[in-house]
This record gives sequence, C-alpha cells and structure tokens, in this order.
Amino acid sequence: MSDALIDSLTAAVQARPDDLPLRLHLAELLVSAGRGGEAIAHAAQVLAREPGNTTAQQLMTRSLKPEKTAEEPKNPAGHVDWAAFEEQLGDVVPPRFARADGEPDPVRGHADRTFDIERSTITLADVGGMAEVKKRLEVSFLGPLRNPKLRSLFGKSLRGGLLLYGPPGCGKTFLARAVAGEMGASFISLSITDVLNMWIGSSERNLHDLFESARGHAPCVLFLDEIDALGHKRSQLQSSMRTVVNQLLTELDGVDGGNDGVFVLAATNAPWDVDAALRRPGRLDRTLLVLPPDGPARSAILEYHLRDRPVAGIDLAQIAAATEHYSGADLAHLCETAAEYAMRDSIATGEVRMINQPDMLAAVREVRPSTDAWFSTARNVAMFANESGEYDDLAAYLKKRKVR
Amino acid sequence: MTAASRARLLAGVGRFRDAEEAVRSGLIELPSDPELLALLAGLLRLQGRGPDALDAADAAVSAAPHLAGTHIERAECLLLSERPAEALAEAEEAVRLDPAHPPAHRVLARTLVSHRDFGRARDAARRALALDPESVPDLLTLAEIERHAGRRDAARDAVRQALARDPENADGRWMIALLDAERLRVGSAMRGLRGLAADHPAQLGGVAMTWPIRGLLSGMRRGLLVGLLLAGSLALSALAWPSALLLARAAAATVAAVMIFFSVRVLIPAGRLPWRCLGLLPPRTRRAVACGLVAASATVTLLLWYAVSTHSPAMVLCAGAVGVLLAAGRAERS
Repeated sequence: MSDALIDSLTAAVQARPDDLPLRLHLAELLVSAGRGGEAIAHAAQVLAREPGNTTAQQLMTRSLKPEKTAEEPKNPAGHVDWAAFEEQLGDVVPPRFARADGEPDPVRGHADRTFDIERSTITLADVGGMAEVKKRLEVSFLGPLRNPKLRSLFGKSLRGGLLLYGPPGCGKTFLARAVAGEMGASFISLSITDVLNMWIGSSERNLHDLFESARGHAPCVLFLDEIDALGHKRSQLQSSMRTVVNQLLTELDGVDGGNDGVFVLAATNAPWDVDAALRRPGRLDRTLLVLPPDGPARSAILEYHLRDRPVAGIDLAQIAAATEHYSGADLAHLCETAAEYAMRDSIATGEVRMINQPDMLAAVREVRPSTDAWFSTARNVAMFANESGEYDDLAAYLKKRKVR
Repeated sequence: MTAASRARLLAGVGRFRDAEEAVRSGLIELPSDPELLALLAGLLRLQGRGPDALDAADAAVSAAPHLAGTHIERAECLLLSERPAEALAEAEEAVRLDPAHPPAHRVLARTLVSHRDFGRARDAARRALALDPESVPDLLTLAEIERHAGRRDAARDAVRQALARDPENADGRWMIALLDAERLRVGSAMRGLRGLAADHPAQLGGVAMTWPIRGLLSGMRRGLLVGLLLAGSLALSALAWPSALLLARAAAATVAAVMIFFSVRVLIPAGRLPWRCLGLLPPRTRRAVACGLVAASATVTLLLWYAVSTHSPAMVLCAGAVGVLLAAGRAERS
C-alpha cells in the first residue's frame, strides 16, 4: 500500500474532519497497510458520531485484533500479554483529559490552584442541556449585563452576585467558567483551600489584594468556590475564620474600591451553611439552583465521556433515560465502569472488543446516583428552612421529583 | 500554617474529609506526631469510624503516653466503641497526668455517666467547670449528667447557662428540646427541633420530628398492656365475684379515657408536622408505626366497648390488639 496515498488521504481528512466516508476509507487503507493503531482513532471518531455504523465497527474490530506473525511466540493458555496490549493501545488511547487544542488543562481542583487570572474559553454553548439554568442565567445575570441602556432605563444596578447551588458534581464550576467565557471576562477562582494555603496571618489584606486584582482586570468574574466553607456561618466559626468572612463582606460591598466590572459568582453544595449576611441584597443576592443534568444534557455528557473510547451500538437515549438524577460526575464514572467491563472481558477472552450497550446498562446497575444524600438534606431544608421562600425552586423540584 | 491548625479550621467548617486529608499529609512528614495522631482519631470519631479512630488513638498514646490529650482522645474512642471500663481507666490516667486540664475532667465525667455513677460524674464535671467556668462543653456535660440522673431542672439550668454563652449551640438547643419533650412540653420541643433542623439540615432530619407519634405509641404500649392486664384480671375475677365486673368495666373505661387524653395532650400541640414527617421514616419502621397506630386505636375502642357492653369477646379481641401493638413496637425498634 502506498504511503503517499495514505498521507494525501490523511491530509484530506484533516481538511474535512466531518467527512465520515473519507475517514472510513482512510481507516480501511491503514488497516490494510498493517497500521491498525492509526486506524482505530479514525474508526472511533466515526463511531462517536454514528454508533451504529457497521463498517466502522468491523474496521474497529479488525484494527484491534492482534496480528499473528510467524515470529510471534505463542502465549501459554490463559496468559495475557500485557506488553503487547499496551503497545497495541499505547498510541491509540489518548491521554484521558488532554485538550484538543493542545493547550495544557486549565487550572482546576485545589492542589495546583494559584491566583492565576484566566481567560475562560468555554461558553454557555459548551454546556450540554440545562436549558432552564441557561435561561435563568441569561435573564437574571447576563441579560442585564449586555443591555446597559435597558438597565439604566429600569434603574437596575449591577451590584450583587450570583450564588449557584445544587448537588455536587452537577457542573456549577463549569457553569461559572462558561459565564466568564460568555462575557469575555477574566476569571479568578478562590476557595477555602487557597485561603488555608496562602493566607496565614494576613487573610484580610490578601483578600483585599485579590479583590483589587479583580478590579484591576475588569471585566472579571470572581468565582468563590465552596462558599459554604469560605463564608460559613460566623456563629459556628473560630475567630480566625470569622475575620475572613468579615473581610469578604467588606469586599463584596466594595465600599472603598467599588466593584464596577467585578462580577461575583459563588458555588456551594450547602447554601444553608452560608452566613446569612453574605446573601443580603448587594452581595450574593441572586441564587440559581443547578440540578442534576436533564435528559439532553446527560446524553451530551455521556457522548463526551465516550468520545475517545472504542464504542459500538450504544443507545445514548436509552442510557440517558436510565440515569435520571445522576450527576455529571456519576455519568463520567458510569462510562469509566462500562469501559472497565469491556476491558475485563477483553482480558478474560484474550480478544479485544468494544464497549457496547450491555456494558453501559450493567454500569447503570452498578453506579448509583450520588445525589441522593444531598437531596435528603435538601428535603429537610425545603421542609424546615424555607419560611422566607428562598428555596422555593428547590421545594418545587423536590415536589416534582416526589422526594418527601 | 501547620497541618494540625489547617485541619482544625477545616473541621470547624464541617469539612471532616478535607481535615482528615490535611492531617494525613502532615503525618507523612511527622508520622509519630501525637497531636496529629490524636487529631486524626478525633476526626475519624466524628465521622463515625470508630475502629479506625481507636487505631489512631492507640498510635497517639503509644507515641506520647505522657500527654493527657492522647489519653483523652483514646477514652472518647473507647466510649464510642462501647468499652466503658477501658474508657474509665484511660480518662483517669488523663486526669492523673494533667489535673489542671478541664477536658480531662470532662471526659472522666462522660465515662462515669456510662457507668451510671452520677455522683462522681457530677464532681468531675464541676471540677472541669471550676477550672474553666465559661466552658460551654463542660456546662453541657453537666447538663447531660443531671438529665441522666433524673434532675431535669438542674439539667435545664446548666443548658441555659451554656446557651447564654453560646446561643446558637446546637447541642444545647437539642438538649433543651429533649428536656421539653420529656416534660411533655410538646409544642416547645417541636419548635426547638424545627429550628435546629432549619439551621442544621444535614445533621437533624425529619425523622426526629416524628417523636410525638412514636413517643405516644411507646407510652400506649405500656399503658394499654397494664390496662388490659388489670381489666382482664378483674373480668376473670367476676366469674367468682360478680361485683368485680363493675370494677373491670371501670378499669377499662379509665384506661381508655387516660389513653385518649394522653393522645390529645401530645398530638394536638405537635400539629401536622410529625404526620408529614412519618413519610420520611424507613419503610419498615413506617409500616410498624402505622400498624401500631391502628392497633392502639383498636385497643382503646375495644376497651370502651367492653366498658359499655361487658361482652367478653371484646376483651379477647383487645388482648389480640395489644399483642399486635407490642409486635409492631418490636418491629419499629429493630
């Protein structure tokens, strides 16, 4: 097989990445040329878009099948040649969390976070499903920002921030980044871990500096992650943390510096643990309940987590329907579990196979939604702590979901 | 910031897992640090991981047997593991090592309560308070001792003092609600519990709000059993002494009337909330409570029927209903 032909086809596929027949043709040539490793990536791309494409499935199977050569030593029965497996898959399975643009991952988690001022590249369009949340974000936050004339007509100030709350793993932080990206604003994130890491003995001053930095980079989204820890009820705090909350209140009021162009977003799993003063008008006075992903969002999340895995015949709609109340993190875990089943089976049989619908359904039975504990607490909140109506949206959801 | 202080701050905002992680990171560098080991034991204990906590406490004591703090933590872990005799020895050792340390006296008081030695427990709690008169935990320990000793007024006084220093203290508010419930101040107890559940929804749920119904059932089990035995034996006596029949009818009517009064006394001030919260009980418990309520109502009705009619089948059916009531109570507790 001519390498020149393969090279020119590769260039053509790069130029037209959505041309699936062309991609399949290239994959076929690669398999014929004994370059199965490269073919798998192309077959996987086709299957990601058309899970039922039988040509792609056959190609994937052929690509994954180890080639038997005369020199190849025969494995004793039941012995798994791990080295061969790894070699076979090494250049096929890309790093799990690498970004397509080759950029390093954005700062996330706690261990590596510093006060980088980031530019978020994601927007609300990158958030799968969640139409209701996006609509509310648009109406209550982004709309007023984008319409200064309308704002001045109605005498609406830009003071105050938005508190996102909901069960863990449902994309609050991702939404905050998307809002920053939507606004084209800088993004600074702060959490309790940052406070404990960096602010020994000078928390007030450093918090002030952080807000100053945000003001200096306006427009800027200042994201207060896990605000229940950072702004915990002062009545339950030791004095050292109380000063942090006091300073946070001062900075949110922006008495000295003014907070024009600084948009404060906060996220929490436990809004009931947030100091009431933080939620007063002019501070985090708007709240948005971020619920587990809806059906379309679950499909999108599942598709995303399966995008670089060898899959065949997966009915995303059926899996999405079977995973109501699952968080985004649960869905990621579900895909991981299904991949584990397929891998385990491949090891047991000695024949590599793709992740299929029964794997996914078995994973659904195995992985239970992690949001149940949160909803059990939320139910108490709706029953006992909603006299002012601040959790009406939560109560309405619980009623709809029939969580008593 | 040291790993220990970092962990304490995280624990202070309820992040026990993160705090545990911070302590474990600290232990990588200082694996035999008794403060970190004792702190780890405390964090594990607060997460309900008794055996792990005890292991950490054992390690802390091995690392620093001369420090009262390690013995205090081990005593707490032993109390959690329901090993009161060892806990007492450990608490006494803590007091011997540092008699001027209030928490040592406090843990001694707590272990003595588990031995129902209320006199010595009270003395220990008062010694702790003498060393630190403003200590809310010591006042609450004293209140707990007085409550267990049946001195509810003294307990209430101690809790009030604690709440005067820390009005939001959840343990203090819980104990006031408990004392109110024990005194059948149902409305006040329910208001207290409701406030607590609103402030601490992750710690206190709707299940606690069902106490008026479950407490009523518990009282009715005892009352109706005694009533049935009394009325039944009088009814049997009437076979030999016919005049005892009147007494049997009076006993049946009185028991039924007392039960109705008791129910009204508890359920009306409690309002609808306990009924709404019944749905939050685990299914088996919920079924047992429902069954108990039906059986209790049937028993009272049958007692009244007997009081009016003196039909002996009513007494037989009543015995059956009490049997069901007792079985439901057993199922509810298991």
